[in-house]
Amino acid sequence: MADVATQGRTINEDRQRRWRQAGIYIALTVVTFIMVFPILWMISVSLKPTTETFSLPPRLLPDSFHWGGYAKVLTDPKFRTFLINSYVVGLAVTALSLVIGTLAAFGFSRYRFFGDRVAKLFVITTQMVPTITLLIPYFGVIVFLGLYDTLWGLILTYLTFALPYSIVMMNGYLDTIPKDFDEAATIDGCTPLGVLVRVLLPVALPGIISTAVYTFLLAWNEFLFALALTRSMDMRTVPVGISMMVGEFGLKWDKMMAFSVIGSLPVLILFMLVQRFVVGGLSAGGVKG
Amino acid sequence: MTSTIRQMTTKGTPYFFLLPGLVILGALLSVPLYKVVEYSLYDNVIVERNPTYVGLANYQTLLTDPGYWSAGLNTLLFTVGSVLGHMVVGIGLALLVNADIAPRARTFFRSMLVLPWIFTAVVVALNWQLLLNPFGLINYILQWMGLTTEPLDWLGDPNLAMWSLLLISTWRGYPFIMVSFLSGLQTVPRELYEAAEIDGAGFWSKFWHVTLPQLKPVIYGVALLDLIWTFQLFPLVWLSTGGGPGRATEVLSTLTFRLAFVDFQFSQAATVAVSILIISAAFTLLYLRNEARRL
Amino acid sequence: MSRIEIRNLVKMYGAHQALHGIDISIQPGEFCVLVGPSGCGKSTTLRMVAGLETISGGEVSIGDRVVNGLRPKERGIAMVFQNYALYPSKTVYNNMAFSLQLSRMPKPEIERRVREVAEILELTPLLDRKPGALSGGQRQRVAMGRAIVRDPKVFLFDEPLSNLDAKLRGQMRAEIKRLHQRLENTIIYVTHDQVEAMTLADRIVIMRDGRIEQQGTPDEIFHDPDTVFVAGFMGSPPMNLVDCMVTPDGLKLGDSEITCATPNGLRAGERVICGIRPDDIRPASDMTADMTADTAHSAPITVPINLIEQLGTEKLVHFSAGDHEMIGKTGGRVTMAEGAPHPMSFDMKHAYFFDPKSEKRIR
Repeated sequence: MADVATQGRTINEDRQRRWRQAGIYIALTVVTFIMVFPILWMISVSLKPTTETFSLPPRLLPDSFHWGGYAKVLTDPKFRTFLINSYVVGLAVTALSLVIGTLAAFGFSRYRFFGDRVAKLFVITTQMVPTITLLIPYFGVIVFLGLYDTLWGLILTYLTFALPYSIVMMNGYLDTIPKDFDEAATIDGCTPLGVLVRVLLPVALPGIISTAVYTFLLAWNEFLFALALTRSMDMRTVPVGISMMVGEFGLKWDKMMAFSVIGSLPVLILFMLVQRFVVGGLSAGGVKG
Repeated sequence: MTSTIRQMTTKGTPYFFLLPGLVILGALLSVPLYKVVEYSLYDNVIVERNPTYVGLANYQTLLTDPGYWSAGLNTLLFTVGSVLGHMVVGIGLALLVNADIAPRARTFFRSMLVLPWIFTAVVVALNWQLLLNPFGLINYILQWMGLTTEPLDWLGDPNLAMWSLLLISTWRGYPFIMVSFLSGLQTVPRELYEAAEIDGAGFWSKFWHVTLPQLKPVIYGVALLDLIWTFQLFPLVWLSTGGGPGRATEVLSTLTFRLAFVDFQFSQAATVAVSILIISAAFTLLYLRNEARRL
Repeated sequence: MSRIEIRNLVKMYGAHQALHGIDISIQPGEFCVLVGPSGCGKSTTLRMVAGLETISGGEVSIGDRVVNGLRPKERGIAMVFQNYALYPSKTVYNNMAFSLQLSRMPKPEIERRVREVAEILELTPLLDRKPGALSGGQRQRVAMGRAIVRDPKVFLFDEPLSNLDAKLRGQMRAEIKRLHQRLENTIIYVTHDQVEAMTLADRIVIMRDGRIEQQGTPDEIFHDPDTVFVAGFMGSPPMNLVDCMVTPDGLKLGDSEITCATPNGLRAGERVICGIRPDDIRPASDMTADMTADTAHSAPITVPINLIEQLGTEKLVHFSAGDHEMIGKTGGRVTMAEGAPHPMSFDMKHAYFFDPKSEKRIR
């Protein structure tokens, strides 16, 4: 008797749970669709001729795909220059800040020394300095250094912004690796730098990848300094390039949106790849016995 | 002898690792910060070869300028509104994503919901200009639903522009809060929820009595960070409204940029920039106090 | 095989002194176990021998060489860590070969050595796996293999078995013992587990608060403790340690009295701490005739039995004597009632007496 009663209740609870889940799925789908819609709409507009941009009633899926916007963008050497510039700056900043940042993070994570707390707080503070405050003096400094309107000027500037993030993120990842590894490697004959390069970095690979992607994203998306510290078309990056199209082409929405899509693709792809690492993280076996 | 030398080198090791990073950060931040303060004390810097020292005159001009005060008020509105929007939407979505669903679905929805965060501000601004256009989709939907009869010029109407800007900023900024809150949720011990359930707590009481108290430090830290960053945000505002229409959405950062690179009044711009620095320094101190406790 | 001399070793952390002058002399091939509660400085001592902590004062020599200031790799040591510290991105083979690769040993020689050690530890089928794919016991063996391939003069073990479950710990303990018999290296082994210390050691060093409490063979430590601390630390269940007063007829514990010959060197009226192991307190009913005849045994005193713990082959008898909770033992098949008074007999031949102030043994 009692058994039947409990069984009845579990079936009931099961059913309740399923209804609740269904509700959550519906809510999530609706909300996610709304949040992602602006992005879908961008893609949609990039595939419509300009005459249809505002046609009513609006349609997410055009009758026929119009590749004209993409064709115009991809055949224009100017856009290729923007993309190449963004890649050069992004990759250089990522490489530099990853190397310098990882070294510093290793110092913070593995050593206690005079002034370590102050140094750490200083690094955190640098993340908070308003970029707009730095803009004017940077303009002066970059002009003074003869780096105005060069990619080097941008690389140097972005390095300042990216470095604190690299240090803080890598420090966080290195902190999750037990110090036993360092000691084992030291006894096996590694120098401190050897410990970092040969033992810790392979373990911290997921952390390195997410730090790298985040840094690249930061550099790729930066707008303010790219706008203020360059002047010639040859030195413009993707964000500035897109913003200039607004003035230049008036309302050629297909072309603008096509370039927006193309210009967002690298970070989008990188981000999708890195999701796996963030999720997988360090929880994979082997790190902790 | 060798032993003391070796001890010294081991003591020097951390400095060897930190040196490149700290030197770059130190040099690339301290010199400009010094410079910007200096600029604000001179007249006609950068454009003139020999600017004149004017003391605090620039600050005086600034404090008596109604344009500065209105930009300050707009900054306050924009910052508070944005942070509130980010928190409400971000925490709400985090709770929804964290609900009892299949792990793969969770990963999918989380990846999708983070997307607004990874686009460059230019693309975000363009997207919303398209959507908020008088002939755009949002007006179409509002009219179709019968909520308005006339299409509204969301970004062009001085009364609406700030609200539109807040909408854009909320969309762009909630993922940071959502992701932080989600990872915070993972640290709450499951037993606390189970204990609360046995004590008879429902969804809301679990949220109020377990989740929020547990995540208070996370929420506080993240909100401060968001506040500090939103306060000085430039690209999104500049690209969405350009501070307009008129000066309806002019914030301190766009004012700085306009003074410097449109009007070429670098001294006045530096003065505004220093005022931004001082205010964010205050918030930064609050944040550091919170962080220092964890170090 | 090397001898290890630790002379007046001192460790300071800022103003805090963690080690107060440790002296240990370990013979070539000796298995020395450092044991003590957490925070007693045993790991710090080991890590100073390894070169992982700087030496604030004193001297460590391995073989005939003072190794203060030498880097770990120059000391001729190998170490097994508590969490194994196997490099997760390297295969078992590369984990074991890493130190040899760093010392630029020719590849064929590395291969030969790793394979040989893998054979000894039965790791050959696992050489291509990553540590993440191994069980706890296998990881433990890889960690030992990594130490053995280097053919070090000295092995250092830092609580190597504490992450294993009880059954595996027993197996690995025996394996380490066999390995030591085979390789005959000098070993310093840190543990907080007194059973490991007793079973493995040639010499046990008991530490407490940065000082050595006593060192000696397991027999000496167990049967001839110098201090209250050592007496209470070794043995499970622990030795009964009770305050009592020496009387002309025996000892007075609160209001009950143990009648026995006055122990050597004690005068009536003196307060002492009396230590007696549970094994030496038995119900009077267990006593055989010649045991009762032995003058060293006390006349049985009748005490209330509070609790009986059945361990299988034996039972622990918890009883009260005066204000003290004490534990005695009896056979697993003996039936005794809880709650009822029962006569218990103390084998005073195996009782130890300590000075209550200095906590040192009265000999």
